[in-house]
Amino acid sequence: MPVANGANGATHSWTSLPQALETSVAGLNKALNADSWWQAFVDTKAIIEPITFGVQSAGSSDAVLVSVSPGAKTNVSTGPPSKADFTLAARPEQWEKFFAKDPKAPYTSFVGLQVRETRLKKLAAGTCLAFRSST
Amino acid sequence: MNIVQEGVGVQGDQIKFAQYGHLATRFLELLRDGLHGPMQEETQPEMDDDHIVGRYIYVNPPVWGRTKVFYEKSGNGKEELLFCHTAGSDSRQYHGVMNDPRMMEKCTMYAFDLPAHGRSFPGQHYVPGNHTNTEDSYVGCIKEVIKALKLNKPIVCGASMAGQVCVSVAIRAEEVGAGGTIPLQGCDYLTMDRQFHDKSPVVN
Repeated sequence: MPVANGANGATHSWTSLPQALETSVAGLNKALNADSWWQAFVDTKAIIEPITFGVQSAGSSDAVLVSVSPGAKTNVSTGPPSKADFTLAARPEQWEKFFAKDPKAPYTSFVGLQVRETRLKKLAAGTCLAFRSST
Repeated sequence: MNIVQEGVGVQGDQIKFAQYGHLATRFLELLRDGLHGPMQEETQPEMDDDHIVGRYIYVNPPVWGRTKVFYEKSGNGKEELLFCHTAGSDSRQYHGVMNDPRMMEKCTMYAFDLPAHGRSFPGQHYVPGNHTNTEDSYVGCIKEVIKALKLNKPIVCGASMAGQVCVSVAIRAEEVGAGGTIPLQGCDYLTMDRQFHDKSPVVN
C-alpha cells in the first residue's frame, strides 16, 4: 500500500502519526492509567490474553500502539503496524481533521470519518436531500 | 460496520477489532485529549421538570409483525413531527429537542422506539438471534405509527439509518402518510457491508 501524501505530492505532516501526535503520546500511558473509562474496560478477568492495537496513516510504516495485558496492564509505544493485531487506518488529511481541536462532524468519530467520503461521492451525483409535499 | 475506502478502515484482525472496539474508541478520544485537552461538548440546561409523556400502542408492521410499541409525545404546536432514532438506539435521543420550549410551542412532537429497541417489545415474528431491519420493515413501521396515532401528514425526521429511511419515506410519502421528511446524514446509496458480529460466538 503506497504512502498517502498531500494533494501536491509532498509528504503530509500527518503521514506519521507517532510524530504528529508526539506530545499526546508522551503522556498517554499516564492518561490511560488515570482514566476511569479505560480502567473500567481493562480491569477485568475477561481479558485473558495480551492484545495490541494501534492507529496509523494509510500506508505508513509507523503507528501509535497500545498493548493491554491481563491484570489491567497498559503499555503505549510506537512501532510498525505489523506489531498490532489490528490498526485503525485513515489518510493523513483525514487524521488531521479528526485530531483537530474542534473537529467538525463527521470527523468526531472514526465511523464518521469513514462514512464521509462515501457519502460525498454519492451526493455529488444529485440526490434528493429533502422533500416536502404540498399539504 | 466497516466501510470500504482504499487504505481507510480497520486493518488486520477484524475479530479482534470487534472484541476490543470499545477500547479503540476510548484510545482515540484520549489521544485527541492529549493534544488539546478534553473536547468541549454542547450541554443542555439542567431541568427539574420534563415535558415528555410516553405510552404504548399496538402496530402491525411488515417483517416484525404485531408489536407493542412505545412512543413519546411533547408540545402542542400546529406542525406534527415524528422522530426516528438511529441504529440500535431509542427515542430518548430526541429528549433535548422535545423539551425545547420553542419547539413545543410550534410543534407537536412524537418519537417511537422500533420493535425490539428501547422500551418497545419484540414483534410477533421476532426470532431470537435473528434481528434484521429492511426498508420495508422500517417504512412500514413508520406508516403504522402514523396511522395508529392518527397523525395528519407529519414531517418524519431521522439521522443516519433513520436519515436513510427518510429518503425512502419521501419517495413513498403517499403510501406512508407523510407530509415531509428531514433526512439527516442520509443519501441514496451506501457502500456498506452488512457484518455479522452480532451473531459471532466469539464477540458476543
